[in-house]
Amino acid sequence: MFFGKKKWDPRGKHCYVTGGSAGLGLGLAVLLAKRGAHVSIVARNQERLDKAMLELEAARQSPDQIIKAYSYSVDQAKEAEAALEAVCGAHGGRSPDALFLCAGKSRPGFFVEQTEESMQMCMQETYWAQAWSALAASKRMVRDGVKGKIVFVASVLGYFSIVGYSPYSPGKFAIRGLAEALQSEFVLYDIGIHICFPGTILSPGYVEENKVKPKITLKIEESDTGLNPEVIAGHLLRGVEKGQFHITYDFIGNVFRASTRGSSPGNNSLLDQVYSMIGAIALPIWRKDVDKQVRAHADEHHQHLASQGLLVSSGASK
Amino acid sequence: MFFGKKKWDPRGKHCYVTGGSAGLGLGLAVLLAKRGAHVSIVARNQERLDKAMLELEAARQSPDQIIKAYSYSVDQAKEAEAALEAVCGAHGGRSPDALFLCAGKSRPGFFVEQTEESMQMCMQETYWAQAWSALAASKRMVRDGVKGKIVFVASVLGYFSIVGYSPYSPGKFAIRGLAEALQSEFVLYDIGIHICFPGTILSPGYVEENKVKPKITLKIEESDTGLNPEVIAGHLLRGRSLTVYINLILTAVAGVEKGQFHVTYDFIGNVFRASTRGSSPGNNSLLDQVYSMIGAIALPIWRKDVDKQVRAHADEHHQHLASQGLLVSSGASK
Repeated sequence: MFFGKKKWDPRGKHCYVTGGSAGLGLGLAVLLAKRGAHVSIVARNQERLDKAMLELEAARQSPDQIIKAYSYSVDQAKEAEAALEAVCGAHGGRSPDALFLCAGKSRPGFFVEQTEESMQMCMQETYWAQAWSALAASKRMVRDGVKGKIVFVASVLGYFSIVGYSPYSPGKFAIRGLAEALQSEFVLYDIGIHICFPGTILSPGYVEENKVKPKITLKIEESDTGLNPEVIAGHLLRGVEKGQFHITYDFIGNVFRASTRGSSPGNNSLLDQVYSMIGAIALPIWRKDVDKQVRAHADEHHQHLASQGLLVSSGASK
Repeated sequence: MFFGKKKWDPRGKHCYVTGGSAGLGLGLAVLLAKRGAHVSIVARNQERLDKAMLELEAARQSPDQIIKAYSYSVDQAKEAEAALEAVCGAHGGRSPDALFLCAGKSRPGFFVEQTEESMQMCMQETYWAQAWSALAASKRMVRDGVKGKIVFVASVLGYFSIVGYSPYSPGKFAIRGLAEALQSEFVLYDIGIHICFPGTILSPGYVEENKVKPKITLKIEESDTGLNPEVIAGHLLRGRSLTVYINLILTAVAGVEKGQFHVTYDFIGNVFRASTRGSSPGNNSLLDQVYSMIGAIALPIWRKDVDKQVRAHADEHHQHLASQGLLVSSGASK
């Protein structure tokens, strides 16, 4: 177990949730409020924050809970710091006890259609949107001696990747890389690190994502029907309470978690051995099938590229 | 096998090597020249490029080989594109056949000592320095119909991470994420994707890296080289740059020739490759099963020991932070 046998309890703790006005972040914030935590949510859009506050107030258990919303763009370093400063203001300047870093979005697409701007925007939304808050909060937690927690949100696409996700997976893999380093390093401060790997989240963000997603990508992932944010929030919080480092909650997540574990602390359970063996057998088969689907799509794809003017008809040399 | 049974041969192919003036990139460039490839190396420093060209000319096999050096900073998108444009100029505008993306550096340090600038600089040097070239070259390869290769260089610290590498591992994990997506996607174009995971590379870059590396990090990784920086520098000064890490370079090129997706060359690399495989295409060998089992048993034990070493370092570390002014003495609440 990560922190000994005692479960972590959100009651009375100050929980800081980025991306807290919708989707997974809102689901988590509501759940934490129901558990008696102080909750600060941060997001960009004031309107959505106001709506979210109505839900949070409905979930309030006690008048002592400090529940607030703040409008900041945490994908920028200085705003992430300013957000934290503002949030701590309502708590006597003290660092939050737990961060839930849910801010982010996904914009899939073919690699050859990306630009410098789109690649950077995607890294902002998948990596920096969490890293800046983690940096600002870590400094405060260490300075204030708060033995807190930081919960990163990656994706199963931080365990593997497929066609269409070259703008998305690098940042989600990077979140894992950061969490792996911090899990080791923050033993120095008794600060707990957790990272959740959700599959499809049936959120407003997912609707936006699918507007730009390549058809071949949609086809390959169609078996992942997804779960509602509230359900995933429940799994995530349970994982944090139990002290798990990598948090997964469905078959795909568990198989990938066990199959890509390397030296990441886990629960060394027999069940994970089984997941690992399933992965060793099933994943190569699945992967060959994915490659086959992509190959079958090649002609249609080249027609698509030609229509975008990305191919020249002359000079096609080998 | 990735491309069928036939081995890939560098002879007569145009190989584009970023970070090609020193370290792994230079070693690769020299080896490719010896194998009869056309070689274009790209790096920042003109002096080092000039010295590198002497080594490359010494490795030349035939007068037909086009061997050139170009000075650009490929961690910037527009320069990465301009570099490629210039390089293709000597080849009738045609895309290179193979990219070896070795540009980059490592600046380890404690997370709480990082700034916005240092974090961004590290992502530039670990991720963008390769991603921009991959983006520019992919568009050209697809446009020209070149069924080429892109070889990324990650690190074993793209398989796992430890204290001190929060500025480095994110970018190296990100390289893996990009390679995984492109391996799948570039089946559309018959472009091969490879990614190498070196351990410690005894290069000039390593000497620089160790000047800033936390002591606790050096301690934990000391089993990886058994060599101290002065000994490494000695090898380099005596011109033994190639021999010191020839094993890595030979294995890297051999891995690309054999069509391997993840290329690792030592025990640590192999164990981590097999233990973190997930759905990444591999060679499905019995040996990899063995590596995987070794990993399942040995890595948790190793990890617990690492955590123990870090915990033991906590007091000394807090004194270090205090001396940097990063702790306040009051308000230490739980």
